[in-house]
Amino acid sequence: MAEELMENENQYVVFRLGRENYGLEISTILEIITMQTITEVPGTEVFIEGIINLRGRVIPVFNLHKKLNLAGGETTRSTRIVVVEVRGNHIGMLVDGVSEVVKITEEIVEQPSGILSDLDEEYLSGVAKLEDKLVILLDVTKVLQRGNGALLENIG
Amino acid sequence: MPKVLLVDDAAFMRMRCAKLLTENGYSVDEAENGQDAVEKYQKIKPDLVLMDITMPVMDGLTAVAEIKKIDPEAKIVMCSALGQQNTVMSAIKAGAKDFIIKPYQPEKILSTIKRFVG
Amino acid sequence: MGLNLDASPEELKVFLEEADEHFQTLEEDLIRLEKEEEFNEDLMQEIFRASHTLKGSSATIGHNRMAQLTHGMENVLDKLRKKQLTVTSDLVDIMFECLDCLKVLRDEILNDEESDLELGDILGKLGSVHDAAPGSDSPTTTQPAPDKTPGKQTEAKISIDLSWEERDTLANASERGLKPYVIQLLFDVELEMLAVRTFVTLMALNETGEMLKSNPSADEIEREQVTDTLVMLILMKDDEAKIREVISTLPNIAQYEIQPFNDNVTQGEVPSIQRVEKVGEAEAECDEAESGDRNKINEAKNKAPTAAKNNNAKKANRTVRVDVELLDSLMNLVGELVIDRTRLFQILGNLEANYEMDEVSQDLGRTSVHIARVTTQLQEQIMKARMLPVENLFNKFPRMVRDLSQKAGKEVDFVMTGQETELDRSIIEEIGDPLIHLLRNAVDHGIEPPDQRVAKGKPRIGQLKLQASHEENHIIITIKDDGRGIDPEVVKKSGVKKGMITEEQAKRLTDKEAINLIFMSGLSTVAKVSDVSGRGVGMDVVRNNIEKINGATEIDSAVDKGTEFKIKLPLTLAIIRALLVSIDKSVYAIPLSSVTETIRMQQDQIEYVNNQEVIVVRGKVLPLVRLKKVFRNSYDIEDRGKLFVVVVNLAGQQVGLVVDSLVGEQEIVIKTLGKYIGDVQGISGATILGDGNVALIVDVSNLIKKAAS
Repeated sequence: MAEELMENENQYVVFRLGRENYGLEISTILEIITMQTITEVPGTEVFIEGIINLRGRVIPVFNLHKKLNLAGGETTRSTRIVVVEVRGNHIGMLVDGVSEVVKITEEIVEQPSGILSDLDEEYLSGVAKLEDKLVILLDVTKVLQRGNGALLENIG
Repeated sequence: MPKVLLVDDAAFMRMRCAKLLTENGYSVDEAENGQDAVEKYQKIKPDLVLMDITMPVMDGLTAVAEIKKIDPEAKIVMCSALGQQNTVMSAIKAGAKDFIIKPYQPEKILSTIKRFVG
Repeated sequence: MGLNLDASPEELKVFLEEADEHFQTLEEDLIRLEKEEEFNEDLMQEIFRASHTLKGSSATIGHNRMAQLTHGMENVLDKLRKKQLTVTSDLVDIMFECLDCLKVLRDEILNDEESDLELGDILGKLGSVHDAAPGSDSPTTTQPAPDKTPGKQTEAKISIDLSWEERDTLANASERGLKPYVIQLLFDVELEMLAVRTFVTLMALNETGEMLKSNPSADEIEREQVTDTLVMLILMKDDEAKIREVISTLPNIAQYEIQPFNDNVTQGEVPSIQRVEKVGEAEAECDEAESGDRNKINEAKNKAPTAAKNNNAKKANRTVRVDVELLDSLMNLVGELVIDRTRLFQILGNLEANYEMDEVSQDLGRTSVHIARVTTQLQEQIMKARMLPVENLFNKFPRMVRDLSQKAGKEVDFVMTGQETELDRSIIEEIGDPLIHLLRNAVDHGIEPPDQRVAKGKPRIGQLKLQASHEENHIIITIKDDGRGIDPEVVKKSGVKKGMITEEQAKRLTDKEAINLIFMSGLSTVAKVSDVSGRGVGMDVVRNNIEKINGATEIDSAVDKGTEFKIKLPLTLAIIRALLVSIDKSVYAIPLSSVTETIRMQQDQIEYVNNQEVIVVRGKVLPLVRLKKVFRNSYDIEDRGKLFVVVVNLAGQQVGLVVDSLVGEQEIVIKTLGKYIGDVQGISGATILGDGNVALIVDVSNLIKKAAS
C-alpha cells in the first residue's frame, strides 16, 4: 500500500474531460475499464448514455460531458469508464482519459466562487491547486443526481 | 451400538428424541407411522422400538401386532399420552414390553431404554 | 418477555412448521366437517390426531397455554369421534375460535414474546361443550377405582387364599425346581396410568417366573381396578437375591418385599408391606448404575443449543430445507451459465466458420456441447427446486372465503382444484394478493344473496371455483363464479360518466372490450365501497401486479350467468425464451410467450385507420407499432419495401410490432435495468447476449397499452 495519508489528505483519481482535469475521491471508485459497447436506453435523460455488461451485471453509464454541459466527448482510444459505487449502486461514468492518482490536502482546495462559469457549481466540492494544474473536484453523489433529485429516491 | 427405532408421526417429537438418544450413544432410525415402522423394522432389525400410539395410516397398537408377527422377540415400548390406558394395555397384551408417558423426562426414557437394550 | 421454552431454535423451527401444517389440516377439516351431513370417521380421526399431536408437542416444549388449549380441544374432539357429541355450527365456530387463538400462541413462539391473549373464555366454552355431552370420563385423568379397600395393606398381615389347583401346583413346584415367593410391591404415590403400570409389572415378573396368583388379578387390573399395591404369589427358579435384582430395575416401585412362601409354615399369611415415607429424594429410582447417565442427561439439558450441532445425521430425512436466498443465488449462477453457454456456441460457430477444424477445436466443440447439456439440466433442476405447489398459497383461501361469505351474508360453495400445480416461488409470492382480491370480489359483488338467487331461479348456494393447471409453458389460474356477471352496459355507462371514455368510444366497444374496461383505474361500478373489498385496490392494480411478473389476465362474463377470470403465468421469472429482433442495428428481445406469429409483409400493405397504421391479417385489423420510432425516435429513411412484423398478444389484445429484421430465438436471462435507471416506458429489463452485448427487453403490455390509447 502507498504511504499513509495525513489527516486532512485525500486520494483522488484525476481524469480528463475535454481540456479540464477533474478529480474523484478514490474511495468511491470501484474500477476503471476500457470503453465498450453501450446499449442505449430509450426514454432516459440525455446524460444517461446507456447500459453495459460488467461481468454479467447490467450497469448504467453516465455521460459527464452531457451532464456538465461540456463540449466535446467523442470517444477516443483513451476513453475510459470509471465505475463508482454510490449508495450500493454501481454506476459507470464516461471520461476522456485517466491520468493519475494524487494526494490532495485540504489546504490547497479552494471553494468554487464563480471562476468557472460554465459549470454548475453545486456538483463541485472544490478546486484543488496542484503545482502544475487545477483539478476540479467532483461530488459524485451530486453529479449523479437525476433531474428531479431522482437518484436517491430510486435507490430504496 | 444399540439400534433404536423411533416411531411418531410428529417430526418434531422424533427430532427431540433422536437428538437425546444419539447424544447418549444410540443409533437412531425413524418411522412416521405404523406401516413405515413395520417396513423399517424388517430392514433394520432394531434392538428396541419406541412406538407412538396415535398415528395415521397404521396406529401404534396395530403396528405392535404386526411387528410381533415378524419378530416375536421384538422389544417395543409404547409412548403414550395420558388417557390412553386401554390402548396401552392392549398393546402390552399384544406384546409390548413397557410404556412411557408423554411428555417424558429424558432420564425416564433413557432408563427405560437401558433396561431393554443395555 | 421471553417465553423460556425448552427447545433449541432449530427444534422450534421444526415445531412451528409442523404446527402450521396441523393448523392447516384443522382449518380444512373443520370446513369439511361443517359441510358433511354424515358422520365421517376418517375425518374425525384426522382432526383428533391434529389436536392430539399439537398437545403433545406443545407440552414437550413447555408452552403450557398451547398445551392447555389443545388439551381442551382434544377432549371435545374425542367425544365427537366417539359420537358422544354432534357437529353443530356453534361447535365449529368454537373450534375456529380455538384455531385463531392457537395462531396467536404460535406467534408468541415465533416472536418469543408473550401476548395478552386470555384463554379463560375459550376454555370455558370448550368445557361447556364437553360437559354437556354424555359419556365416559375425560380422557385425561384416570381415577384408580379402588373397589378394593386399601384396608388390606394397612393390616399387619395379608392372607392368601389358595384354591385346590393352586395348592397342587405349589406342591409340585419344588419338584420342578421352582420356589414360591410372595412379592409385594408398592407403587409410587399418585402414579399416572397406575393400572397399566401394574399390568406391565405383572407381565414383567411373569416372564421370569410362573405366577400363581395376584392381587389384584390380571382381569381386575385390565378393568383398572387397582390400588397402589400389587401382591403376587410367584414361582421362581432363581433365588431371592436374583429376584431383588430384577425388581430393582422395574420403574415406579417405591418399595417391595419378597418372602419365601411356605404354605405349611406361614399358613397362608404373610406380613404385609408398609409404605415408608422417603424424605428428600428427587427421583424414585436413583440407582448407582444410572448416575453416570444422569450426568450426561444434565449436560444435554444444560448445553446451549446450537443450531450447528447436527446430531441428526442418522435421520431418514427425504427432504432438505433450503434458504430462499440460496435458491435465488443458485438461480443467478445458473443464469450466468446460460449466458456463457450461448457464448460458447457463438465462439464455436466462429471457429468453425473461420478456421480449420483440427483436433483441438473439435475437442472444444465436444466439451462445449457437454457443458451446454449439463447447463440445461442444471437450469431445469434449479427451476424445479424453486417450484412450490400452489397449495401453499391456496390453503388459506377456504377459510377466508368462508369468513367472507358469512360476513356478506352469502352462501358459497368454494371448490379448489389443481393445488398440486407447481409455480416458481417468487411468482407465488406475487400472485397472492391479486387472487385474494379476485376472490373477495366474487364473494362480495359476484355472488348474489341467497334470496336473490332463488328469485332468479338459481340454486341458493353460489358456486366459486379456483382452479390451477399447467398449459405448455404456462400456469393457468382461473377464478369462476356463477353470480350476477358483469354487465357491459353498466361498465360503459360508468366509464363515460367518469370521463374515461367518450360516448362515441363506448358505442363502438364490443361486449368483451367493455367488460375489460373494469381494469382501468378508477372505475368502480359498486355504489359503496364495502369494507371487505374496498382497500383502494382496484382491478387495475390486479392486472398490473400480474403483468409485472410477465403474466396476463383475461375476463369472460355474462349477465346473471357468472364471471370467469383467467390468469396466465410464466413458469419462471428469471429465464425466458425470447425472440431477438434488430432495430437500427441494435438487438432487442421480445418475450416469446407474448408472440403469436411473425409476418413478413410489404410496405404497401399498410393501411390507415384513424391515423393509425394497421395491416389486415386474415380479415382482422392489426394495429402496428413501429419500434424504431418508439425506441430510437427515428423513422425508416428509405421505403424498404419489406417489413417484419412481430404479432404480440396480451389478454386478447393484439398488436404488430414493426422491426428491421429477426435475429433468432434464444433463452435469455432477465436482468433489471437497476434502480438508478428505474422504470423505462416500453422496456421491462435487459439481458446479456452471447456476444457479451446488452439487449433491451421489450415490455409488451406497456406497448400494447400505449397503442390502445
